Amino acid sequence: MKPNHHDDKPKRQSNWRERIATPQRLADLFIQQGLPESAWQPAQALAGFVPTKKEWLRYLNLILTGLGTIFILAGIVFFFAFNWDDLGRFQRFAVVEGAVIITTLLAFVLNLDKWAGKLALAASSILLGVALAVVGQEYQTGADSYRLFMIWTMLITGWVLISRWNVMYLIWMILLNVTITLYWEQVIYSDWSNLNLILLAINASFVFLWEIIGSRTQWSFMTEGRWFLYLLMTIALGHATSLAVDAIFGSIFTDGAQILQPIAYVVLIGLTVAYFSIIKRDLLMITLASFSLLIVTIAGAGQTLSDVISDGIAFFFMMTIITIGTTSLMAIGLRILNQRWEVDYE
Amino acid sequence: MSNRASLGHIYDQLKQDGYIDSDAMLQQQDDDKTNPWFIEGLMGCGGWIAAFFLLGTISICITTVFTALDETTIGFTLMVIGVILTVGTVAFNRFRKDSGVFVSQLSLMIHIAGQSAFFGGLFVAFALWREDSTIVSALAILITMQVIFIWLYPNVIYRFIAMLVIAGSVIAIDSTITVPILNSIVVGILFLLASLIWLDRLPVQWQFKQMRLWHPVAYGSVIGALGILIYEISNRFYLDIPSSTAHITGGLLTAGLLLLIVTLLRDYEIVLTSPFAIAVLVFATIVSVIVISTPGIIAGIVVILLAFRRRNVILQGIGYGFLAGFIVYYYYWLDVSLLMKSIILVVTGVVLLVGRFGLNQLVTIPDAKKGISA
Repeated sequence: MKPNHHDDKPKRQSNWRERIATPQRLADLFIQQGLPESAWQPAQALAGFVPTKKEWLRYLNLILTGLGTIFILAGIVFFFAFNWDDLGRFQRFAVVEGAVIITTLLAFVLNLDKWAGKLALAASSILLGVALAVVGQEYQTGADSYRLFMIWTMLITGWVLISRWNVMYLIWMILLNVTITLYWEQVIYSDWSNLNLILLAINASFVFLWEIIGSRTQWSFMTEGRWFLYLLMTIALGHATSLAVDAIFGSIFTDGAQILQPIAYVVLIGLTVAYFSIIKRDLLMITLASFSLLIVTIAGAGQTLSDVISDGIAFFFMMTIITIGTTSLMAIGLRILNQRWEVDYE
Repeated sequence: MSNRASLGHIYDQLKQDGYIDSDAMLQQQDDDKTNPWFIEGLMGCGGWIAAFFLLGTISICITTVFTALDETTIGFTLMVIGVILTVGTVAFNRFRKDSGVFVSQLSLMIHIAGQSAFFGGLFVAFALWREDSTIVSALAILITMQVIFIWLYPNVIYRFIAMLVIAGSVIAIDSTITVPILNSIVVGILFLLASLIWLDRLPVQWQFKQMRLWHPVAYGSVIGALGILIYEISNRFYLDIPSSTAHITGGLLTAGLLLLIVTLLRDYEIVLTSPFAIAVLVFATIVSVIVISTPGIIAGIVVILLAFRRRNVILQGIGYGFLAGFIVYYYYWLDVSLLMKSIILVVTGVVLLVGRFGLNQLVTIPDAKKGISA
């Protein structure tokens, strides 16, 4: 696979003249070049830090429309909440399911390529969950709540696939995580390390799958807006870190996941560093993995030293040295990569 | 962000417009040594963890010595240690400005530990916990210390934390001697401070020479004020905070909102007596009066406007998040029925939409070159 060098990010410039203006860089320019105070306001305007009148009007238009709509919708919700006890079962269904149908129709009328259509589809997906909750409330089925989230996840899958919007995929992933967690709490209620392993695998697999499909297809919705991938990778690394730390200090739960725990951790860290340095350069992903590695290293060192050193002062002093050493090594490595890749992160 | 102007372009344009002498010689510009924010974050976290272990080492040493001492001596010893750590880190940071993120975070943690030791020592040495008045005096000392060290200690994170400590101390004073009006006044002052900074109302030299001082203070002011507002609403029915406090806070924030709008109108050279300016001010007053019992909504609107003025995405996120939170809170506000709330919300929504259509009627939006006719 051809390396993708994150072409959407501007290249970091070694010449100061070519650097993109940020408030701090502009301030440094004024201090170092001794520029006059009278140039400060014009410089800020030239840098685009101050919105123009036209931009203000557009923004006011947007927030007045947005907030006005939200307030009216909230008022309608409050009105139904006020009358909820007086409504019959079918009237209640009509209210929530009517909202689902209206928002779904709106999504297609307004066009899914536009923000309004996307927001309507997201609202429809969330209202579907509300509708399912009302069904559960009305019929008092006594079913475990994981079923609600499971059905909710299944029902919106089609909408997620046609949405071509990463926010919808994020909603779907959150629902999947909640479903599995609730299933574990309400049905299995043991082997908690396995729950961590499953959530680690699901979130990390999603990130890598997204990256691979995105790089092969070059669909714009998969290559832009990477923030949600960072969020999912943070969740995966969080589970991996807790598994590794748990393995270091000895599992507090009696289950059979002990051997898999360090293996899963090493595999995830290895894959993350290898993939995001060789196939697709992404320093933030590597930094997230480094942070996890820092925590695990400190935990490992703490556990090992506590067995060897009985003196508290010596223990804390050694831990200080190890933390400084590990952080410095990681920072040096990341800085070298940053300088080599020359990406301007703002 | 890639469509922003480069530093060279701005420099050349300023020269062309006559702000810089055409024969001015370019000085040597320092290399941009800044790392991406996440690498700085990693180093910062490493610094905090290392400092935790270092302070653990020092604490064990001190505890070993303290076991043989009485309370007053322990208090004074802690104060001396606190002064040494605080003064030492201030001196280190003021004289070695390029110490790197890791060392600066390590130093920050030691500085905070120094201040904590001094303050803890003060409490122990003079037994300040015994009377409400002495607790308040101690908190006043803490606030004064923060104001002094915001100026003296050149660290962005510290300055932000110090503003939060000030807001927290105000809350602590209120919960000790119950002066809810203090919350309203401090919220007003903090918002005024943030507005002065983000509307570029400080002396111009401060704006670019002291950017690292004022920006964290502005962030801290907004977050601190929002924190006080959360405290005020969450304790309205439990502590002795009368609901009239919300109206006072709402009134002060409304005044702040109107002042903000007047400043913006002046900045954009729109005459205050023009129909557009009058309509905007009347409209802002009507919306504020409707939601005056929930000052968080007015505060959210102020934050959103300030954020757009600065093109600050983080601040916008804070503003919208806070606004959403306060609308949710509004659901649980017990003073009026759900029906009344729904009417207030619908009326506010209609007023906002009418305002939007009114804006389009009053203002012609020509192309960007001509600006607006207001």
